[in-house]
Amino acid sequence: MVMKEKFSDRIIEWFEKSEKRFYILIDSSNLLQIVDYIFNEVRARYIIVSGLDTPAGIELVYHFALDGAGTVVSLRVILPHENPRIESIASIITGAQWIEREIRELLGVEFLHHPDPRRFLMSEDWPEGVYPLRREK
Amino acid sequence: MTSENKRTVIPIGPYHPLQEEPEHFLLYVEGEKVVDIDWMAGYNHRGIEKLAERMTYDQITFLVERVCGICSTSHPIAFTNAVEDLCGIDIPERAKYIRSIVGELERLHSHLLWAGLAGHYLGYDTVWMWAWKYREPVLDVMEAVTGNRNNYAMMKAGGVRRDIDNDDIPTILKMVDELTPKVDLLLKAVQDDPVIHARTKGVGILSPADARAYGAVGPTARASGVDIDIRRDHPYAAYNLVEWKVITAQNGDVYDKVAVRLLEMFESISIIKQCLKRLKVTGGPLDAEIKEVPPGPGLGHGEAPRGEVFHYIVSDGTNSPVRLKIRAPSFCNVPTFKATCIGETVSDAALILAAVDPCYCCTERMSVIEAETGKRTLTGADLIRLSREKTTRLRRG
Amino acid sequence: MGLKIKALKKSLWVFHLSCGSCNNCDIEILDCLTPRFDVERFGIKLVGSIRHADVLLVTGIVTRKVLPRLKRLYEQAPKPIVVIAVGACPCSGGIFAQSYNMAGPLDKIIPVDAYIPGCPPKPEAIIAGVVKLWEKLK
Repeated sequence: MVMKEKFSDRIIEWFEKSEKRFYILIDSSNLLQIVDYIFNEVRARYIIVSGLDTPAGIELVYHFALDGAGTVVSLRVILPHENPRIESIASIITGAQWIEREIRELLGVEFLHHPDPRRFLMSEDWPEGVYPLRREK
Repeated sequence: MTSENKRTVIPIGPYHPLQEEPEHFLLYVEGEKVVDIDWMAGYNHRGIEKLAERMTYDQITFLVERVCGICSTSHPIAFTNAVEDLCGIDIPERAKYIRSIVGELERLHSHLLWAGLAGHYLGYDTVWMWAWKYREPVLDVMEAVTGNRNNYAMMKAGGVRRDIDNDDIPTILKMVDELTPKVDLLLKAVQDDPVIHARTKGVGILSPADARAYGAVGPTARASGVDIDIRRDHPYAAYNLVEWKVITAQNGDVYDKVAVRLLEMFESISIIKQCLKRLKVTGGPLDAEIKEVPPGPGLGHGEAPRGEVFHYIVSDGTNSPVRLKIRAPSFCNVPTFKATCIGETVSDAALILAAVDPCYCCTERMSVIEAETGKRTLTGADLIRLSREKTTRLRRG
Repeated sequence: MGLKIKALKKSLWVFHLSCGSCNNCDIEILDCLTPRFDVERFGIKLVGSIRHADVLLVTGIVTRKVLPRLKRLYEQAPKPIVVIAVGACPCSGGIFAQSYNMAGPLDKIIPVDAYIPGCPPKPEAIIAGVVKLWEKLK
């Protein structure tokens, strides 16, 4: 895959679960650049971002579809538990701003330069700092 | 409207004009024109993803079926696709046909439901009653085949839970054959009615670029000429074993969104008939028994009536997932009204919102937040009334 | 109660509220209006405002966000009002009973007069439940 060569120095791990499923671990500092490449040059379709609390940190997975090839490419970043922050991709993909708001509420990740970081899902009386998808230690 | 503040905020909700579900939109208007719109969610948020973490893979199919009443079987299909992706297995052929048949029957009744609601909001109540009347035989068939009008409990990881009896095939065939002229009538009614044209053509246009920027899917995207359909692009079940075509349109307005859904119904009927024919001559097991689930990621999607449903699982090798992420189509489709409502009039707002066929419960595992306004307000009922009144004016004029 | 129940004999005005549901029950309720079931011939009518309602039909688990709204609507309802929980969700929470966002079941928040279980209950079941209650109140 062209991407593998182009970003080879910025890819931490490249996992091909099958010929239609790629999971690529990158450093959060390279996120915008690689998302821009996938979305604007490769012209992949943005599906969604998912978040998960793992022992290694808060993992965010950015899922993209290459519909012509029936393939899904998932970009992974791992953020430290103590201070999970990452650049918002809303400047590249405006539709991503809502899932980023949801992830902030459910996992406590801060999205830098988010255009509209208000509460989204949780009721007004839901306590700040309680993130339902975080795991108990 | 006051002089200090040219903008008026109109909350639509909490009970959306077109649906019975709670959701909140805030329309910011200047005069009759919508200048901004905000979407608030949360009323239907039931914490389903968290609930899934304490259930087994087998139990989760029952949970995700209830994410949304109307995209009911699409969620289990996407979920089981994800588990099968995780395990690296393919399901037996007979199960593929059954999955496609149930999925397409669901598309039929969902599109009919939507057509009825859209008719109601346009002021064509006979269309509403009529579309929902012709929806009933589809539900009857679902009940006969699966045991329930809604929530079919048909899907399991590896295949399907129950068979479609070959003896039932003539009944299903008869129902879709009788439905075909009804859909045709509905299509012609839309194509021939100048008032419907006036209400829907050029209204609420979503450009292909915006469709991409929001991640729009399904008929909402296809109406804008975006040629995507999970059934063809990432084939699952029997969609690559039968002949059918993806329906797209070019203008991305409300009219095209209506047309795409109606035309799709003919394709659904064709898929059902072809699958039934193959089912008659395809024996074999109904499921591939999954004995163990390996650790790792699994990802599945399906084409629900509203567009792509996406499920992502992370497994640790136990009987229960570590994480289930559900992305329903409306989560990406609903925000497109930021692009389609702005610049349009208040009396069209309700219809434009409806045109994405929003399924708030899908997206909610979601809901909407409300905002306070001291300015002139309209209720959901007012917006429907405005929409229907506009139709009346057009009919007279 | 007398005056109100006399009114009930003629027709039943029903207000429908979803408190965080998957929408299946809501659609089955609406289905009751359509030609096959046609509850209007029994004098059962869906109204657009709680202030005109004799009956409050509730679906959904009652999420935390809906809770204040539900309470407010119940306060605005003319009393006496008959409350019916439609579907497994308002009855018990159904499959969502353990959810972190659950503030129900319904009878924890407002008094409930009838429970129509099912997931979703068929229109026949909903109509039967409403009519049974109506008979009882007469």
